[in-house]
Amino acid sequence: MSALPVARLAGAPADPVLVPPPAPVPPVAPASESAPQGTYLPTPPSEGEKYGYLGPRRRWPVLWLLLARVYLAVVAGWALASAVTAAGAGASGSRTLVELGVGLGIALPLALYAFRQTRGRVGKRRLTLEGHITFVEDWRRGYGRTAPSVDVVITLQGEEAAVLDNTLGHVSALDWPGALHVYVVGEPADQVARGLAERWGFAYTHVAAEAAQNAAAQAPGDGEIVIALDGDCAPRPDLLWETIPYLATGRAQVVQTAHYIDADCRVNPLARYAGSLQELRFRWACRCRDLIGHVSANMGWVRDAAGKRSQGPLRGRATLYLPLVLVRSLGPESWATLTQQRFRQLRRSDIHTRSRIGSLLLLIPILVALLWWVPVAALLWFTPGDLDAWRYLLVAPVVVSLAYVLSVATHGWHPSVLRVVTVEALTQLVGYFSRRRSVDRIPKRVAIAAWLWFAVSQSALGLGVVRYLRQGHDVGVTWPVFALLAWQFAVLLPILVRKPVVALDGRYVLPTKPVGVLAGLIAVSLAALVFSQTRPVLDAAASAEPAPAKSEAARSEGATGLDGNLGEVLGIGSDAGVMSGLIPLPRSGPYPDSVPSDCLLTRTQIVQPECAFGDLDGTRTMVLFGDGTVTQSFRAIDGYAKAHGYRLLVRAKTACPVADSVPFDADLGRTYQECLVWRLSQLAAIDALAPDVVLASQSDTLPGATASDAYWAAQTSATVGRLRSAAGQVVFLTDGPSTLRGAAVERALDVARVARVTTSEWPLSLRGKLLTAELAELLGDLP
Amino acid sequence: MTRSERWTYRVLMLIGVVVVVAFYSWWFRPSHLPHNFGGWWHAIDFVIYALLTFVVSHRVFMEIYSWVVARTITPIVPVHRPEGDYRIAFLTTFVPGAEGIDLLKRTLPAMLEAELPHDVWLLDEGNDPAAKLLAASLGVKYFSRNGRREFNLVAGPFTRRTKGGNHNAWYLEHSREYDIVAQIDTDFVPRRDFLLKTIGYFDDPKVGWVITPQIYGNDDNLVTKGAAQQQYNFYGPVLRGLDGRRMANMLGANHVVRVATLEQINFYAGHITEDLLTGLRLHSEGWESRYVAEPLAIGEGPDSWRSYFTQQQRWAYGCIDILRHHTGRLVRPMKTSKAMLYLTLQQGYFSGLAGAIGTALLVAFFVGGIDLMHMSFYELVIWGTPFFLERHIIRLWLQRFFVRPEKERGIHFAGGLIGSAVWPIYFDATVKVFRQTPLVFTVTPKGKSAQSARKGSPFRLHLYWGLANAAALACGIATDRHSLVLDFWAVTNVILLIGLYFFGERMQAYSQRRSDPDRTEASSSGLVSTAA
Repeated sequence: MSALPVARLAGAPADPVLVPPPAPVPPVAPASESAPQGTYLPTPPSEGEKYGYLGPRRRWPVLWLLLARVYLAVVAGWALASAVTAAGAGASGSRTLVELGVGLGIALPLALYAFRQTRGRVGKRRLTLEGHITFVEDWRRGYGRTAPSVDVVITLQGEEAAVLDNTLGHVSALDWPGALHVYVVGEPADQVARGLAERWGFAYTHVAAEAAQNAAAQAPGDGEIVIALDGDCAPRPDLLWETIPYLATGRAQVVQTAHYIDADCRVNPLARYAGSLQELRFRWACRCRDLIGHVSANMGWVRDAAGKRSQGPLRGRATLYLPLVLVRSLGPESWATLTQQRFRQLRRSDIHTRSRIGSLLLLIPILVALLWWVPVAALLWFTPGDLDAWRYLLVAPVVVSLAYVLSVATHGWHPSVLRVVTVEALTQLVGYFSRRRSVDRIPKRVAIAAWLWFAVSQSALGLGVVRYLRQGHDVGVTWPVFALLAWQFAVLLPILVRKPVVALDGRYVLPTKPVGVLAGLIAVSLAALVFSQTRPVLDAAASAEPAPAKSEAARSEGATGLDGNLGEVLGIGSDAGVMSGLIPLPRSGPYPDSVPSDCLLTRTQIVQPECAFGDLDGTRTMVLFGDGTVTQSFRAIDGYAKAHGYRLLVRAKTACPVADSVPFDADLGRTYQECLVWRLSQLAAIDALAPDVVLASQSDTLPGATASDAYWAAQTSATVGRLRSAAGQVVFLTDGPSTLRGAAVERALDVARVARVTTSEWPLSLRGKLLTAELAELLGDLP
Repeated sequence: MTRSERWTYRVLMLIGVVVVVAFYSWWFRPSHLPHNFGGWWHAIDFVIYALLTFVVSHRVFMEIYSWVVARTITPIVPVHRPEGDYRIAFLTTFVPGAEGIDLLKRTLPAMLEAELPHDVWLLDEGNDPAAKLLAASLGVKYFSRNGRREFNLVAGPFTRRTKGGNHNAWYLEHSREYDIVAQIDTDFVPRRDFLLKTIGYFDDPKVGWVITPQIYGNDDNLVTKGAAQQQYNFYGPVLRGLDGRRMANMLGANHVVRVATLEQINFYAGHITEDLLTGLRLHSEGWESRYVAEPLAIGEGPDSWRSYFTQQQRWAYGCIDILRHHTGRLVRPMKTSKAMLYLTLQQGYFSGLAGAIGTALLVAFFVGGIDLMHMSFYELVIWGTPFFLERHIIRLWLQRFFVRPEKERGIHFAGGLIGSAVWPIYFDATVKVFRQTPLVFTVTPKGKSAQSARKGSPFRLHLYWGLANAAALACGIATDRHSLVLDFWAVTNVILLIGLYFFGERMQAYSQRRSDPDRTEASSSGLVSTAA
């Protein structure tokens, strides 16, 4: 069966309405001569590549990615829910509901989207290699003289002459026994393209401006079947043999084949990454509808009575995705081409014709690509105590996925592909809100959005880390955050600074304003940090007072100094100051109702801030030592210290008992090692300080069934013994004898002759006064 | 079976059932369960014991399969001369490079000599001029798909470089000229009565194909002898039992098939073991098959470790691949008993998995200190011995149903040795199937071309597994972890696997030297002439 030469047939008259009047043809050199030196021209896929996507299916990388994505969705939902509730959303009674709602609201759509996408990648293929070959070969043997007429429509998008010449050359080699007409659809004024088309014997035409977005649907000619190609591709000669049988037999009304871009060293990194992404989509796709939003060419359809495509793109049962690599295309090699190509695809896809909900669903992957850092930032800023290194171990599947799984799933994969993912997401986001804009303005708008996004995400993470560390959290917990920050920086900055500006495009496409915005944001943020850290110190230094006086000086500065500054605006003011002992307490009353939150260390914190209260000029020292129960009597004790000339130092850590033990902490889900570290360091500090009085307190219910009453009492007594050796006097504020364990502790203290006060049995309204009186009696401060 | 044989079979089966039930009643005692973990994690102990049971029971399971299949063995009754006036083609294929032209010079004349009117065809994969000349000089019809795009595809019925694809190309062009096609591998020499003893079965319109046993004539060295001995049981009681159920598997080496039958399923399957899948498809369509348990054709077995492993890997890969992708769908229309027999038959190559799991369990015990079982060695001997003896008694008794019982009876040391040595190859094939690593169809090197097989040790995998066992054993010695049963098991593995790496090829060479080529050749030709 010999195919008729295309060039001979292509001279047939085209639709007179669409064909523009003849124009002078500029001389055009063959592709090899006209191609600028170094220009990469695609070649048709090889025999090996042709059926590559129909080969063995390895589903495990996709399932692995699903697990990682669902986990990330759950983590994101949990993190944001924690942040929202920590920020004070709702009353305490409704916080659980709010947290649940936010968590599910975030996690559920992300997880569902991941499932939906995975189903589209691991589902049953509608085609097998054996089935495809058998079907096509059966048709080839029996087609006789009934081969349908075919129109090949090549839609131009400003391709270089050499690239277009290469495409037309390969199209002319298409093998087909029936009538075959080739139409090149471009701009009316593009004389170079017109000349090339006519040199190859093809019809050159253009379509009305309003139809330009979907030129293939308005295909010229009257062939029974239309094949749509881009102007920068190289089809295999057997493209029509492999696709037409499905259309000719009525098995499908629309067929789509894979987009294929080289992803190796022959193309530049940007094109390589774009190729790798395309492979990820097309190699694993099972059906046409899994490709919505990514398809614009390499497709064929049966022309209906009106001469148009009989159905909407890729909708309905009559569509069929053929995972065949029959056409190799040119990947975008610059910021401009990448963003413009993606924008064009977005416009040609049916994203804007969908329902509002449908459009919003398409925004999910965009938002995921752009907002993945938000959960970490939310934890950093709102619930830093929940940030634990071990939780990052569960993110390991994601890291492994990026490093290994994706490299198995697709050729040319590199973590830097995420740069292209980000740029694509930004383009889609910008394009979504700029659908009526000219394509020429898209690169610049995307660049502005990219810089803004980069500045915001980096600032949120960077400043959050600084604030986190200044709060005295364990640095060992923060390494994953540092790693995340460094990785994000390394992945994104090059494409924003180096690649699009100089290396890829050869010209400066980025405006200077975003650079200024970024620099300004960073400068302001740093200034705020520096200001919040140094201003009180400078003031204190000016007062030339000893250390305790610094806090006093700072306290007097507080209301007018930091309350209104940028540090406060950015949320890094007062808390950070309090924990370092440099920033004053709020002036809402004479004393705080409880210990300031930063003086009561969280579970992961081990560095104790100064936290000096009472009479800062007092000559005697009183230490308040223990777990969170010390906060219950703080107001009264602080008043007592103030009245009796004690400098009161708070040494408190959440859920960390006085008893010499290493408890198992249910919230952490492990042994509470930080408690041991903190307790030992504080006991050493108290030894060195030799205070006049130590007030110790702990919750006896804390260890639950993990410790016997006798053991608990003995260990409490052991610590109290050590305190007695360092301090002048020790007073233990006990839970009372209402429980067996509490009674055991009291007995042990009595045996050791340690003074104790049982505040829990007093009425709340009188607790302050009674404690004051009791302390006065025990400490010999009676008038 | 004769009447007395049937009674003997019943008694042996009764004893077999008793000892199997007794053994497993003892084996599954709760006290034998290991106690490595507490609470819910104790479930892991169940998994460990289940894996151990799988390792121990796989071979037992396949043994019981042959007992069950043997129930339908029927006495051999010579088939009548065919009543129909069939148009018969007799085919053989040829792959230049992998098979020597010397094979054709033996096979084609014997095919021409076969009784009943027929055409002989040579299907040459390479369009070899010498083969074409030989065919022309003998009056053999010649066909080659070489250079024809439509017959050299990457998948489907016309897959390039596959025997099925070669046959299908011929069928598409010439099958309309024939009613029945007999086919034989190039290295097999058919007896004169090959067609006479098989064609008569096609008078029954339900019969789709007839197979004959694969007999190796070159059993003059360790590997070939072992490969032959390994198959005695399959070609004897197993296939004769399946023949009694009219469900003998299709064998690619030599079979006779009705053209209309193959046309119904678009000819041979495009698969690496196209015979097994084609037979399965035909049985699924309701066709019956017969087995002639006579040495109607004598061929060449793999005469080196490498060619044996290549053949076994292809069979294992194909069988497991079919089990994974096709069997479930194809056995659905069958009767439950037939479906179960098919499913069971295809479990055979999981002995590789059992071997690998066994090694993993040994490593877990010696390195990780994880108990596998709580049982005494002496109890195991007491409860296992009756079962062991009964197995061997039944196996020896079933030898009477071998194709050539007078020649094939025996202890079969060589078959046992290479059967124990092949599990790493089966495991490799299993992994390849589940990783979906394609296995390229490779013709088992035969004839003079086999001498040019590539160098290098074929026991690389054995060495790895042997070293894993040795390392585990060393760790057990260092940490003083001992169990008489597991020590014995690990030492056996080390000796067998590492021993094969160092001495396997030497043993083969030694057995080759000991054999008398003249005697072997005379024996082979004697078979042909006797049959003639």
